[in-house]
Order: sequence, then C-alpha cells, then structure tokens
Amino acid sequence: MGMISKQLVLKNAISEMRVLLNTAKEFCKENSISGNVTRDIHLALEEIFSNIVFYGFRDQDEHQIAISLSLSNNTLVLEINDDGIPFNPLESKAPDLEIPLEERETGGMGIHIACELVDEIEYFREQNKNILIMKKNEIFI
Amino acid sequence: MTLKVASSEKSQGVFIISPEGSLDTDTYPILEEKVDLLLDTSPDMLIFDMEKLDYISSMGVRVIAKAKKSLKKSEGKVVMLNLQPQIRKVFEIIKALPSEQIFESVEELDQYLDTMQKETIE
Repeated sequence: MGMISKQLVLKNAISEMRVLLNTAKEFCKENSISGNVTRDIHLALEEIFSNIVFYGFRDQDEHQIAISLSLSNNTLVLEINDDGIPFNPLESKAPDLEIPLEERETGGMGIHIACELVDEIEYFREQNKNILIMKKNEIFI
Repeated sequence: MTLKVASSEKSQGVFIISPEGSLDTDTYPILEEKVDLLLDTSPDMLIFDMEKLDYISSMGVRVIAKAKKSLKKSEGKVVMLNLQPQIRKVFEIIKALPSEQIFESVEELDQYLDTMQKETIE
C-alpha cells in the first residue's frame, strides 16, 4: 500500500481552523477512517492548532503552520510544524486533575486533551521549528 | 460548525441552558455570553443540558468551569445533564465528572432537586 497523504500550509490565524478541520474530516472520510477516530483527531488538531495560534508567537507577523496527514497501514500520522517559540507539549505543565475543575488554572487543558486523544506523540525542535508528530492507531475500528 | 443556545427558567433561580451543535474555539463566546447574563442574576443553579451538544473543546469546557467558579462563590451549583459519549469522553480525560454534578436525565435531576428542597425546608 502506497503512502496516502495530504499536506496543507495555513496562516497563524484562528480563521484558518475551519480549513484545517474540514480537510481533516474529508481526509478521514475518503480513507474510511472510523467516526470515533475522526472525532478524536478533529479535537486534537483543534487544540494543538489553537494553542499555536494563541500562544506560539511573540511577534505580530504572519507565520506559516504546516500540517500533514498521512496514512500508513492502520495508523494515521499527523505532523504539525511551526516556527513559533519552542514548545514541547510533552513537557508542558499539565493541569492538576486532582482538584475540582473550577479551582484549576486555565492553562494546559487543551494540550492535555490532545495528548490523551492520540496513541503516540513525538516532539522535535529542528532548525528553529517545532515539529510535533501525533499517531493514532487502529483507525478503521 | 455552529452552536445554538437555548435557556429557560425551570423554577425560581434555576436555569436550564441547552447548547446545541459544536461548542468549540469558534463558538464558545455564544455560550459564554448567555452564561454571563444568567450569572448576573445570581442564580441558585445552572443546569447544562448537553443532549444536543455533539462536540466540545477545551474552550467550551472553560465556559463551564467559569460558571462553576462564579457560582461556587455564592454557594450556587452547576450541574450537567445528558452527556453524549463524545462529550463525556472529554470530561473524563480531564477528570471533571464529579458524580454529584452529573445526571443522566431530567427525571434524575428532578429527584435530586426535590431531595435538596426538602433538606432546605427541614
């Protein structure tokens, strides 16, 4: 089976979210990925992308965020690259889940949700870019 | 995706808020605005009926958390009803499903409210 993949490059604007999420949904549909997996990666992408747009850049300039969705065997691989400030979601401060929701600090919740929705996450910082790879397995069930 | 929010007063100071559709990064201000208006009336209870909600992101969860925080100060309550599996999943991930605040149905909530009312009278 050849590599099936889809690439897109978006601006760091929250209005780009719709393009991202629609593309992801279409990709899932075209490749017969299950509804549950489609929902999970939809939410994971929303959380990661909004986090980059809201907190990833210290300047007001336009930046590009590159996203690729690819399929290999039974695994969906999402890769998100941005040239924002270094941010490793795996080392970001997790919310304190042992205290009631209303007492928690507001940060970190979206990243935590995204991390929990996928099976594997890898992060690299290369050539001043954040490279985040998320993998979701068993995508046809 | 869109969000519609309906609300009604179930009894004095007890409001049902019913978001329908997708509560996400784009749409959460629609719910937040409605919730803020109700919080201004110093309600005893806000009931989020999630029956018709099919998607929630962390921004949506924050609106609920903000309502809880605000009502906690005035000893009010926030409860949730009819969580669809995908909504429940998000609240489970962030461990925000305390059993005393989640009800399966309006009937179950009514029983709880009756008991609470009796306790208040006694």
